[in-house]
Amino acid sequence: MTQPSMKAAPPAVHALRKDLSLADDQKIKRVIAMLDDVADPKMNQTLLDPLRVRLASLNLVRPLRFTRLLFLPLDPVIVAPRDWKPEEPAVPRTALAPLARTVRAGLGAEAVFIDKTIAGRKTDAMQAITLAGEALWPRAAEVLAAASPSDDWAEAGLSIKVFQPLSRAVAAVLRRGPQLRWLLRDEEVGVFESAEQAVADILKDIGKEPPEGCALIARLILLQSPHAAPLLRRFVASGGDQAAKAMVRRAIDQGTEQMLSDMESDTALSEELSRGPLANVGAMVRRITTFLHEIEEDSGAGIDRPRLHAIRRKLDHACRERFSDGLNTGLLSPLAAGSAPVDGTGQVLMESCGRELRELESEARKIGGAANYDRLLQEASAAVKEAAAAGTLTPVRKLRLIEILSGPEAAAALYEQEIAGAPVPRLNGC
Amino acid sequence: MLEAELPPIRPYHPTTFLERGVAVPFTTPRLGGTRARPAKKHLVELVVPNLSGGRGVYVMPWSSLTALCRPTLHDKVFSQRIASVTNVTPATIRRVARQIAAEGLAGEEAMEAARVATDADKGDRVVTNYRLLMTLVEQVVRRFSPASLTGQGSHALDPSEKARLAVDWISPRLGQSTTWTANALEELADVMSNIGVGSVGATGRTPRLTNMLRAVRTSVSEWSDTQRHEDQTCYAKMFCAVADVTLSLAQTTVAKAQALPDNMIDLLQTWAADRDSIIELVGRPEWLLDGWEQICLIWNNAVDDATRRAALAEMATLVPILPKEVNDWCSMTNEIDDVVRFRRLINLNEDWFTGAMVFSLIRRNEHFRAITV
Repeated sequence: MTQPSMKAAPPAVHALRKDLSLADDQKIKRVIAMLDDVADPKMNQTLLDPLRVRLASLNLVRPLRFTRLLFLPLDPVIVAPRDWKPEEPAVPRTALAPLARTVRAGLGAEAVFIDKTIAGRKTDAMQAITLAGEALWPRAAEVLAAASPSDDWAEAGLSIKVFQPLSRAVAAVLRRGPQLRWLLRDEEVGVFESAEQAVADILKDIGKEPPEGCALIARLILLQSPHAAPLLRRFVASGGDQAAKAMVRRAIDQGTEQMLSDMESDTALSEELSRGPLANVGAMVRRITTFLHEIEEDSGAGIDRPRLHAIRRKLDHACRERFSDGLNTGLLSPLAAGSAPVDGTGQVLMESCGRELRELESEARKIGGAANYDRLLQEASAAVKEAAAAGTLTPVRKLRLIEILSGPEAAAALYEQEIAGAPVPRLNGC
Repeated sequence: MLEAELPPIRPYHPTTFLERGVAVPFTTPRLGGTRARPAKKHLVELVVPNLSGGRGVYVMPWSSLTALCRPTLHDKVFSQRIASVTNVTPATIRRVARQIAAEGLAGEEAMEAARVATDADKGDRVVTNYRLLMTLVEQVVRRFSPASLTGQGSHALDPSEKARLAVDWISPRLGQSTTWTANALEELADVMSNIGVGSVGATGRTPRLTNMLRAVRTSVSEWSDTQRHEDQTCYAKMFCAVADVTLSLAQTTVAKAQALPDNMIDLLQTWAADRDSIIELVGRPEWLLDGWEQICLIWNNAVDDATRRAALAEMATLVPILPKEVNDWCSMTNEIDDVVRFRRLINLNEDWFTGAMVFSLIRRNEHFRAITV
């Protein structure tokens, strides 16, 4: 395949970017797959930067490359260069490629193990990420902590003065990459037994890190693993290194303020919830509500309750919209449009959608709107029954959807009415 | 039964496998590890592990399931269907499970898998029947050299003709008709297809499960060597200890069952006089391994350290207790007692069984139904 040069043909790039912004999800997936094959970071960045929010909603599995693995612990705090401010705990995307080259050069032959471990893997290879990450992140931290700006730093479009504080801050996070990943995965899986040990490891020698690094770490914990926030507070309240505790306290406050500001901005919260894959939205809402609960519990944070109340209202509104939208797109529209009976694949998609909606609703009704969710679920159940009456769903497929939407009791009652009376074939030997 | 009338928690030390009950593949997360066993008046009762993760079990009639939790429709129908099963064995419970899966109550994937599995079982029975027939032919020729099977032209006979001639020859010497012998071989194939016979031994359900348990045991042990948290290594040690005893016992009982066709004439004579003893002997590996498939799947479903930590904690609550009856099968009293005493019960995070994660767990359990059905 001939690779078009981005710099040589800006009009073509602009045209391509415009095309992509109008393309449907399937076309975007095909283009991403092509770009992943080409593996040209510059081309990826040029074409994909305007689509970052949309890409998140597609939940794509991408090739696990060195740069992607290296910055995985920082993923939620990577921002577009235009949104980056030096005083905020975030990392501009344009800095990643030059920093990655610095790390790679510093690793030398050690990179071979990393390359072998991730070769042919994708971003869903959890254990490969953990293995390669444990080898890469702490060593990358050593390299970055001692690094000077490379010749290609200008490519980042950032001042040379930014290099050292940024690379030191990134190093502070990467030094704790394995523990941060441990916390993140425990939060995702729903087991918290070892959070205390992980946070203790993260805070070990934190006083030796720059404040920018500490702020990034605190923000990452609050964003990804809010259940661990009390452990940060406990550290601040404990005896020991006063300077380190003061720095962590400031980092918590800075991270909290950043997150609250993001949520208060006009679009961030609703965009994240409306664009995120439905499968992830329930967990996202759980993390946000846990975070809000934790800062309410944090007497040192001094956050006004009315401010939190307003964010909760906004979150409630965004959840209702997402739920309603997901219900229409994933269930009601396919049922209404079905001219032929739903097949197995269609049923699986609707069941998945139903369960993801229930996961979202289970978290969202803790903030509000319980009656609204009940009503929408009842309407959805009615639509399922109508579709079954019209011959679109078999009786068992109808029961499965009713069970997901209205609970097992409703499905059992229907089963008793419609199916239980039918003879069940006698089993040999029973 | 009212909630207030639920039986109190009491120690659970089953003496026999039947008292321990048969693992029921419910999809409700809270009902993981539930077993069914015969009760009075030809009914079936359920043995549900303590929901708090503490010691003891709830023993209850199937109709009380809803007093304990919100069972899925699949589980409610399942408990109704097994309520009247008179012969509670791993095989009969599996048949009910497959039937319900085939109706679609465990989802599309399990429904499709149930249809495929029914065909595969038929195939296993046909292959086992063929192996038994060929073993019979080989033994009759080697021990008795009948003219019909060794005379001129016998080398040109096809396998089915040889089988017919062997059955014709042996039946009067067993004091049976040829129809009886042919039927007996089909019934034996039905009984023995799970453990595998002859060169197809490794493809039977029991050898496959034994291999899976052995692989999981190795994987757990290797993984726990890399862990520094005491809880994880403790669960892993307990799991490996019980798995080792189970594998050792399974190996012994499978070998005994697989050795039955070594003397086809004895086997057929015993089948005529006391078929229950054959069924009991061949059924032992299934009773031993009952409940382990779910445990293995939980481990195999885990993709990284975090999910393995969670899996191991869940597995620790499901590891089957070995009843004392196993001492009649092998002399391992002390080891078994040690293993049972070492068993620890743990409490999982509540979210696993209640909050939003319950939907993911039901989906996972239905996926397991598709694999095991």
